[in-house]
Amino acid sequence: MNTPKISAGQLFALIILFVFGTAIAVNYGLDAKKDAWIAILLGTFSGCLLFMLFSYLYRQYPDLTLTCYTQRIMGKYVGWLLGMIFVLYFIYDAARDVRDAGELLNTSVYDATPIFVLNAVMLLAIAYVLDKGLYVLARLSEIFIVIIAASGIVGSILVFASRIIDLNNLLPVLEYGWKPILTTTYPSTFIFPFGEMLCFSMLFPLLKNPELQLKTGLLAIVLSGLALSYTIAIDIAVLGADISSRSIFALLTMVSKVNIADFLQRLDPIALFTMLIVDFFKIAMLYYAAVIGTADLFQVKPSRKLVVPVGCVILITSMSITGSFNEHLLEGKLSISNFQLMVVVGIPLLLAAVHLIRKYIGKGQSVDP
Amino acid sequence: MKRKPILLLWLLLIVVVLSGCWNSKELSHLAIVSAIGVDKLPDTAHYRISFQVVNPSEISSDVQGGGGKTTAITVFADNGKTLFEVIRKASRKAPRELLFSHVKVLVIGEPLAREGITELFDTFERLNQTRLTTKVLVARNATAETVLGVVTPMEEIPADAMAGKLQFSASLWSENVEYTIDDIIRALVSMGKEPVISGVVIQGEPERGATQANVRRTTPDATIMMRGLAMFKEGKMQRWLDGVEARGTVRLLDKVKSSAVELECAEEKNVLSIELTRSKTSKKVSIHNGRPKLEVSIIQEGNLVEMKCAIDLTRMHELMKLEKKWSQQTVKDVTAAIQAARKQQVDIFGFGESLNRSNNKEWKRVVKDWDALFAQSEIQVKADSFIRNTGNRIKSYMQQQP
Repeated sequence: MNTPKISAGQLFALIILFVFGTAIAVNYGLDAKKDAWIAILLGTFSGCLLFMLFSYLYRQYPDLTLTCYTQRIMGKYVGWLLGMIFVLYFIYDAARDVRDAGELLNTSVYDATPIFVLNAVMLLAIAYVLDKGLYVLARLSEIFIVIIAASGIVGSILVFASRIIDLNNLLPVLEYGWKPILTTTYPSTFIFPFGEMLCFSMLFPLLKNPELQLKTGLLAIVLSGLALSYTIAIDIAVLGADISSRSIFALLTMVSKVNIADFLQRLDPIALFTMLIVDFFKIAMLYYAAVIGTADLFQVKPSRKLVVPVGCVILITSMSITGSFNEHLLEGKLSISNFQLMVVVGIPLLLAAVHLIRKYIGKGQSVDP
Repeated sequence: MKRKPILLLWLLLIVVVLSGCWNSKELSHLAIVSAIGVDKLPDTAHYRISFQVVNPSEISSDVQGGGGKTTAITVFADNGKTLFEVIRKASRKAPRELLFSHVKVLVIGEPLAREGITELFDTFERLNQTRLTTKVLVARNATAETVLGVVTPMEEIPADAMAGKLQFSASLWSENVEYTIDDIIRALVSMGKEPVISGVVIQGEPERGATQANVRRTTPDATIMMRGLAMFKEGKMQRWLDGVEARGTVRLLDKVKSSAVELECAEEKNVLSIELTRSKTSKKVSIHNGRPKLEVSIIQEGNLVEMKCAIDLTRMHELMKLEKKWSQQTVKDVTAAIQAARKQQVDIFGFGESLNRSNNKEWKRVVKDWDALFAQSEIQVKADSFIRNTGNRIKSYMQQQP
């Protein structure tokens, strides 16, 4: 699974698709009502800082994955335990995104199909790609980034051309001040989706040009953050803050309003398609991180043997995680501000701190594990 | 060797998945609903909901399919407490499953509109078949059910005819607005704006409109016509706005695309007609000593297209006099609309929203009693008119006569 290397361009494409992931479909930024776009921009900025932290850790151990260097820094037992927490987090997060995709299909078109089937089909496709190796996923991302960019541009033109945008819906900016924006950004739009990029730490050792990692990553984050913010702003401008914040899939509702000359209309399937593609990549990345992490922790070689078992765990988790979509969304908000925050910000910060302490205080002594 | 059974498994799974039959619905089992009508049964909590369903054999272009035997549409109606209940109940009457993806128009009966429409739209947002782009109308002096049942010429499906009439009267005559469900929801939710909905009337004999004979005549017995704007306050209809008031309202909503304007000629009782080609309304609200001041300024352009008097259009000042007269008349229209709304204490124009956009702090202070404040506001309306051309002639042939 790890012989060919990932190029900078592929990393760029993967990050963009990952960030779009479920964020473009289910958006928590809308807690900030019409200022959601500001909350996302703030989230992007903080996401850049967090990515710099991940990159810092990676540069200390350029050949190791997250779960490996955690064991290096924290010692065998504590490190293994933290690594396990990471893996569980990846599985949980992947399961959440699978459920998002299933619910999206279920509420929008496949109302008579059980969610289990929709989830299983989605995971089957991803398992197939991962079985072929990460390199296949990376090349796939190069194709799909073009498709996503194209559908984004064409979609924007159609929305503008059908004259449904009313910028008055975005005014006044900061109607309720900065407070709702800040409470939405920290932690919602910060962790989701930028904190989740922790799973890229499992992939960095495979980079062809490690020196380009930080630059490419930051560029991709900024670009995708701008695009997300733009998308949400358009949603609000078309639907108004009230309808978009109450819609579960604001983008889908917004696109259904496109109508050009009574001829180009009902474009929801295209939006649905886009949302599924980006979600595919997000699940695939988390799924991959979970597989590699498990292989690391339990010394399984080759790691592709774990694709099917981990996939099964994700599938079962995606079903048992919640009883209803409302609960799912509520749990998402709750877990983001509690344990997701701990895992993607708390533990990496702890790792960096321990690393620094060992480096400076333990100078002179041998720090070999 | 080892891969073969796995490959076989994949193939089997692909067969299951690719056919995509799980959610399949056969076209021959579906009935396409083109319009929905909602009425209230008097003295009960029940709605009477009617569905205009397309008869596929009638509208198909297939010549051998016969056609002409039945009407292009059938109206199924039933009573119930919720829309969804009636949708399912209707299966007792409709031979196919109702499909709501193509609902063009939602018609609300006037008695229901007067009782309140706030709870009506929830299910349209929730269900995945219904669309927010459905146009909304209020049936005037008739139940929504009868409106849905009128057979229309030129467009075989009456819902298409209604949508067409609404669209073109809104863009060519500008006495009504083409509002969709989401527009209404936005206005219902907003603190600084109340909804208006275009009215639809049946002109003629509704009874005879429900038969195919209606379109076998060159002058149909019953015609569906767009007329007036229903003004709502807190989800309850207050009154109809017609003529000048409706025009002024559409102006203030800045939805005027084109219209015909009649001005009186100088001394005589004759009139001339101007084709309005562009109109832009800007609203500004400020608060002085606790009393709102509404400033409206309109810029309009048009062409002179008909004249029943002999004005010498080669002289610039004659044209300028007309422009001035036109401005005065527009100011009068707009003022009439504001007066009508102030009398009912309903801000249907979104002045409150304007204030919120320009002065958020002030708005928060007055939002609670905005309706009362709006009613005693100071109005200042200004219009600038430009007659850009006079068609294919400058001088009228009437000018040559002694």
